Amino acid sequence: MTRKILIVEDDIETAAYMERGFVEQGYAVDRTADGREGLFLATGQDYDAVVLDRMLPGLDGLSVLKAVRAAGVQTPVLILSAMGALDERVRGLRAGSDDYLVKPFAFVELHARIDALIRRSAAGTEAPPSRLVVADLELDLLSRKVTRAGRPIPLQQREFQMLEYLMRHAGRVVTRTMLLEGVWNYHFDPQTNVIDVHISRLRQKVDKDFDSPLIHTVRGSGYMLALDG
Amino acid sequence: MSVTGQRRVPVRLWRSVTVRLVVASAVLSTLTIGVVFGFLYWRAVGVVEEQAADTVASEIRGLAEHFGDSGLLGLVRSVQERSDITSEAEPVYLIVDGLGNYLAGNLMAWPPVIPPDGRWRKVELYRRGGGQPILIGARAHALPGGVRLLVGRALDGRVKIQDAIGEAVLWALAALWAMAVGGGLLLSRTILRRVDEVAAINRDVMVGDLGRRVPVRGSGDEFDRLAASMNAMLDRIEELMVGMRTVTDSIGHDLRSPLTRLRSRLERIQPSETSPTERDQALDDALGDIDATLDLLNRLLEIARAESGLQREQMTKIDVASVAVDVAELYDPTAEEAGLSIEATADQPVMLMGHGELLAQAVSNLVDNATKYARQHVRVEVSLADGSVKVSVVDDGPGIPEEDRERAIQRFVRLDPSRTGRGSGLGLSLVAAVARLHGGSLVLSDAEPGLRADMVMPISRG
Repeated sequence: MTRKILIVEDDIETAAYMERGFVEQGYAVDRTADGREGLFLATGQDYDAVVLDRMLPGLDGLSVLKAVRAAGVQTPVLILSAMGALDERVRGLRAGSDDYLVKPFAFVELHARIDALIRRSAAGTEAPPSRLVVADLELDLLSRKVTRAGRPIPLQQREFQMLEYLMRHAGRVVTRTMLLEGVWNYHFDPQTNVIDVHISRLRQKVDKDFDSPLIHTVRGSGYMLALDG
Repeated sequence: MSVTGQRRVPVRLWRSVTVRLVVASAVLSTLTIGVVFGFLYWRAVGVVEEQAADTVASEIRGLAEHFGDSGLLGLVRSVQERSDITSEAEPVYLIVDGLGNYLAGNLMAWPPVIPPDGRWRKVELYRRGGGQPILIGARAHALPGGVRLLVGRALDGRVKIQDAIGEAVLWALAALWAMAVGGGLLLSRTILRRVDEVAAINRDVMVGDLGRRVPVRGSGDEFDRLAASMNAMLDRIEELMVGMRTVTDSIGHDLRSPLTRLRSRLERIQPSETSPTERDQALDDALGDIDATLDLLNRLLEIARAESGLQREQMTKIDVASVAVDVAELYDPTAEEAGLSIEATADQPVMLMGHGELLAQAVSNLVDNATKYARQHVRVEVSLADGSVKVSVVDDGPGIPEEDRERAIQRFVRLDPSRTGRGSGLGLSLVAAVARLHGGSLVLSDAEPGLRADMVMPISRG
C-alpha cells in the first residue's frame, strides 16, 4: 500500500527537495505552501504523516497543528523549523506534534523520522509488547534480558536502551541524532562521533559470535537493525 | 536641555502630572474652605439670633412689669419712646387692645402668624412708615385686659455676617490659589527638569551614543532609583550590543573562509575537464564544507542563546552530578578506543536550578576537549564548596599556558594553529556562556600536568 504524506512548507526549494525524496522512496506526496490549505488538506484527507513548517503564510504551523488536533485528527505530525531552541521544541510538542526536526536537515534524517512515526502510529493500537524479536535476537523488556539464538547476551543499561531503540525501529534507518535523542535525550550534537563507538561496542556483543550480522551501517545516514542489510 | 525643549514647557506643564495634581488639590481646598466658612456662617447667624431672642424675652418681661406698675397708659408711653429710638438693633414693638386696635408701636398691624404665647418666631413684616418688608424675630405676650404686646428685632445682622464671611472666603481663596499655582509651577519645573535630563540621555542613546548614563545624585530618591535601573539597563544593552557586534564580525570572518573554499571547489567542477571521480570527490568535499559551516552557525547560535539569558525560564531543579556522569559515560567508549580512561566521581546528588540540556552540552564540550588532549586519564568531578557546585574536567595533556587561558575562552580562538582541522574554536566559549547563564564562571587552571577546567556555579539560586 502506498503511504501518503502531506508536506506543508512555503519554501519552494525545500518543499520540492522533500517531495522528490519521498517520491523516490515510493510515497505519494501532497504539497502546499499555505497554512490554511494545509489545515484543510490535513483534516479532509487521510494521510500517513504530515511534515509541517512553522513559519507559513495564511496560518502559522503551530496554529495549523492545534486546529488539526482540535478536529480530532491523530495523523502523526513532524514539525520542521529553523527555530531549534529547546523551548521551541517544547512548544511544538505541546501543540501536539510527534517529532521536531530543525532546519537545515538531511533528507535521510527526515525520512528515518517520518518512517518511525508512521510505524509507531500503525502499532499504536496494539498493546505494548513485553518482548521484541528480530530473527534470533530476543529482548525481554520486563526482565531486561537479551538472548541471541538462546544464548544470553549481557548488556549495560545504555547498550540495552540502544538495542531496544534499534529493535523498535527494526528494518528502518536510525540516524545518530535519533539515537542521541531517543536513548540519551540529548538534543545537541557532540563534536566527536561518540555514537559510532557505542554502536561498535554493541555490535561486538550482539553480532561478533554469530554468522549473520544484524546491526548494519547505512552509509551517510546511520544504522539499521535487520536480518540482512 | 535644548531650546525647543524649553519652548514647549507650557504645553507639557498642562499635561504634566504635577500640574494636574496641583489643580486637583486646589479644587479640593476650595471645597474645604466652602464647607468651613459655611459652617462658621451658620453658627455665627445662630449666635446672633439667640442673642436677639434673649434680649427680646427680657424686654417683654420688663414691659409686662411696667404694665403691672403703671397700667396701660404707662406701657403705651414707654413703647412709644422706645419705638422712636433708631438703634442699631432696630427694635420692633406693637401694642394692641382686646379688639386688635393699634395702641402704640412701629408695626402696621398685628401679624396673625404670631399668637401671644411668648415663643420666638421669625416672620417678614412691614414696619410703620417703612416700604420694604423686613425679616424679624419676635415674641408676643398677652397682658391682662386682652391687651397684647409684641417685641422683636430685625434680623439684618445676618446680611452683615454674610458679607464679612464672603469677603474672607474670597481672600482665602485668592491666597490659596496663588500658593497652589506658584508651588505647583516650582515643583513641576524641578521634576520636569529631571525628567528632561533622562529623556535627553535616552535620545542620545537612541541616536547611538551607547556610553551615555543618567547621573545619579546620591540622594536615593525615586529619580535616583530610576536612574540606577536605567543605567543598569543601558549597561546590559551595551554589553549585548558589543557581544552581538563581536559575533557578527566573527561570523562574517569565519564564514567567509569555508564559503570561499566552497565557491572555488564548485568552480573547479567543469564537466568537460574533470573526470567523474574528481567531480564526485569535489561534490563530497563541498557537502563537507557546507556541513562544517552549518555546524559552525549552530554552535554560534547556541552560544548566543545561552548568553541572552532567555533560557533561564526553562531552568528546573536538576542533579548536576548525574548530568556529568551521563556525559562521561557517553564518552567512555570513545576514550577507551583512544587508549584513555574516563573516571567520573560524584558521591552524592547535587541539586541546582539549571538548564539540563545546556549543562550536558557544556560538560560534553569539556570532556570532548579533554579526550582530544589527554595522554592517559580524564577525570570528571562534581563537588560542593562554599555554596557553589564545581563541575571539573581534568586531563593530563599538555595543558594551556597561563597567559593563553583567558584567550582560550574567547570565541573562535584555537590555540594550536596546527589543529585547524578540528573544532570550531567555540567549545570553551559555549562552556563559559553556560556557566554565566547559571550565575557562575569557567576557570581554567594547571592540573600539573594537564588542563583543569572548573565550571563554578552558585546553588543558592531560586
